[in-house]
Amino acid sequence: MIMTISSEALFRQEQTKRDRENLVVLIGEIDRVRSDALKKAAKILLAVGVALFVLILLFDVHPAVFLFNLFKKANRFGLDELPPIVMVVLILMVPVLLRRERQLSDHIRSVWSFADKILAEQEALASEVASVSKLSVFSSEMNEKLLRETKVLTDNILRMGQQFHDLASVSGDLLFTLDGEGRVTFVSRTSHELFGYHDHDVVGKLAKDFLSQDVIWTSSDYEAVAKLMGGERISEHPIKIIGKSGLLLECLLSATAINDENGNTVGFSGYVVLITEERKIKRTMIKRMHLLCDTGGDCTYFSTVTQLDELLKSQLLEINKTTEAAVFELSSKIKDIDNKLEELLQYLTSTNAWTQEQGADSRAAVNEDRKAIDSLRAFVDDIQKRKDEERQRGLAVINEINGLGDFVNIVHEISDRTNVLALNAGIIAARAGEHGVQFAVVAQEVRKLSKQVKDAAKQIGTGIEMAAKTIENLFAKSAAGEDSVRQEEQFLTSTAQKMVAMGEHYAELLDVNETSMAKITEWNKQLVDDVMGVLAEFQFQDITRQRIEQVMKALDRRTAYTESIRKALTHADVEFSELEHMTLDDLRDDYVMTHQRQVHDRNTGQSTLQEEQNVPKIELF
Amino acid sequence: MKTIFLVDDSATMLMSLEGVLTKAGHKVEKASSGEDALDKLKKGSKPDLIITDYHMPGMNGTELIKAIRAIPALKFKPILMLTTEAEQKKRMDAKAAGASGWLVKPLKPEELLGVVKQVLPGA
Repeated sequence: MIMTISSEALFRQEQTKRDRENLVVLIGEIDRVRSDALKKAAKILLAVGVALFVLILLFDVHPAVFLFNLFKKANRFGLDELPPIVMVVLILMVPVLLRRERQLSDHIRSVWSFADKILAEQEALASEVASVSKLSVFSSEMNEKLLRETKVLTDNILRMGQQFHDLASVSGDLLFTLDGEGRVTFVSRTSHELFGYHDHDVVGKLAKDFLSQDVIWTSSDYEAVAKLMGGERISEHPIKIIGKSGLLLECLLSATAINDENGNTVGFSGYVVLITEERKIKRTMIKRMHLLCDTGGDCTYFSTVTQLDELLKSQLLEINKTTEAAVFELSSKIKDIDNKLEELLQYLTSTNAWTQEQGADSRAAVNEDRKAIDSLRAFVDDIQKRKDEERQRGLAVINEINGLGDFVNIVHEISDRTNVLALNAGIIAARAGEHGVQFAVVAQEVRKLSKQVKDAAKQIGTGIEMAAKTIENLFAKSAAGEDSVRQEEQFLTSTAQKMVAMGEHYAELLDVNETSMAKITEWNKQLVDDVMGVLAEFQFQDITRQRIEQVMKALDRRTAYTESIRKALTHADVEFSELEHMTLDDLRDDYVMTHQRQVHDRNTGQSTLQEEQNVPKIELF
Repeated sequence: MKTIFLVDDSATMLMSLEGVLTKAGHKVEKASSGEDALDKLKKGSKPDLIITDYHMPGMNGTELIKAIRAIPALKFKPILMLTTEAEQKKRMDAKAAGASGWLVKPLKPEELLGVVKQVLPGA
């Protein structure tokens, strides 16, 4: 029935659609005709208008006159049955007709619109009927499907229940169901194996009676209960169950609520896992696994280790590059220093040669000066000696002259005595009388002679004194002049000595300079050797580079090893033989120097081969 | 003045040895790998002495010595291995390949120059 109604509705829908289409076509046709007519009329009017315009322009003919003549001519052609006024009327009728035509068109349009509306409603109705009928058919089909599926579901539930019971009988864990009040409605056989309870010990009892009352409930426990009561599932919640023997057993509870069709909790089902030591270890391992490996199984923990290794290798590589660049820089600077030292050495060498030459000349000059000074000194000494001799002679003369003075005194004395004798002779002569007259005359004459001698002696004495004084004066002058000469001699001597001293100081300076130059030259040579030593020390960078490269290789091995661990954790099908195996001694193969092997052996408690320890540094074959 | 050919993949090592040898008055030619050295030697380089490293990427020192000994002009030239390596087996292999001596890095300048003088009496 529904199908029939539906078919009919569909048919009507189709028909309505066709009617509408036909109507559209008809309206379109009318429009087209009207449009053509309008166009034609417009053309005619346009032509008439143009003709009139042309006439006006060309022939200067009034349109009314033209029309009148035209009508007259028309009469000539048998159109006299048509009076001119009729013609005018007809012409005037055109716009009226056009207006009427337009009105008609509008009416037709409105009729079409109305008809279209009715048809649209009809179509909609038909469509609804079709939909309803389709829905009804669908509902009917769905009902049938639902019935079938319900049956299947029921069968599945029954089968699952059976499977559950079968599973419960073989599961090593405790399976249970509770009613809405929390009383046990079912326990699996493992209840006895694990806790010592037979099912009759447990069924009908409140489940909470089997939980330890001494255990203080934590917020986690309350949360789990709330979840369960709220219809959620709890998984592996730790609980302690009192075994039949009274032993408190650690367990893990997983349970879910059983709800009716209204969503009300009517019971609970779940399982209890007794935590044995083995299970504890497994749980710990799984927890650790979860720590190390994310839920995607990629074990990003190990990825971080790998990335760290890569980062370390990059850092080590950078160290190599940086030290190499630093060595190059140092070497360049060392070479600059070396070049400067070479220049300095050359300069010192040339300066040293000049200094030595100057030193030799200076010494020769100093020797000449010394010789000249010695000659001068000898000359001055000679003069001095001669002067001394002259002085001695002078003194001798003075002494002789002074000695003459004594002689003069003797003469004075002789004269005085002679005078006294003469006086006495005179006296005696006087006493002798005439016989003594001649004697008195002789005595008188002797007295005169004595006086003359005395006077002469006096003059001689005066002369001697004067001569002595003169000579003394001369010697005094000479002494003064001698002093002057002595002073000059001392001055010259002093000057000469100073010049000698200067020369000697200069020679000493040259000696010091020569010694300094020699010292500096020697130090310069040592510096050159030191530079060479520094250049040789740059070998350390190459050795360090090799060591770093070996560490990088070790990191590569570690990365492969870590990746192997990750693979073992994330791929259950990986065989042990597929994993990367490594021992520390594998690293030994990468070493390139004895020292590395020694460090390795020291750390691993081995001893390095004796032959390797005693390798000579230089061995010519 | 002698010409000494140095082979080492370490630029700093080449620079260090060159510095010491040129200061001592020798002329130095260099190569940074066994292949590079062989190429230069085949193209006409005629050094008085060759000093090569052992551990180099590609051709190692012993392989290089073997290849050099195959060049008639260099069959009897002194070739020294200068390396950090001290393993007995590697030394013996080098000797069998034609090495004239084995030197362990690092060498002091006087040690290096002393060996050069020993190997090249006119140096």
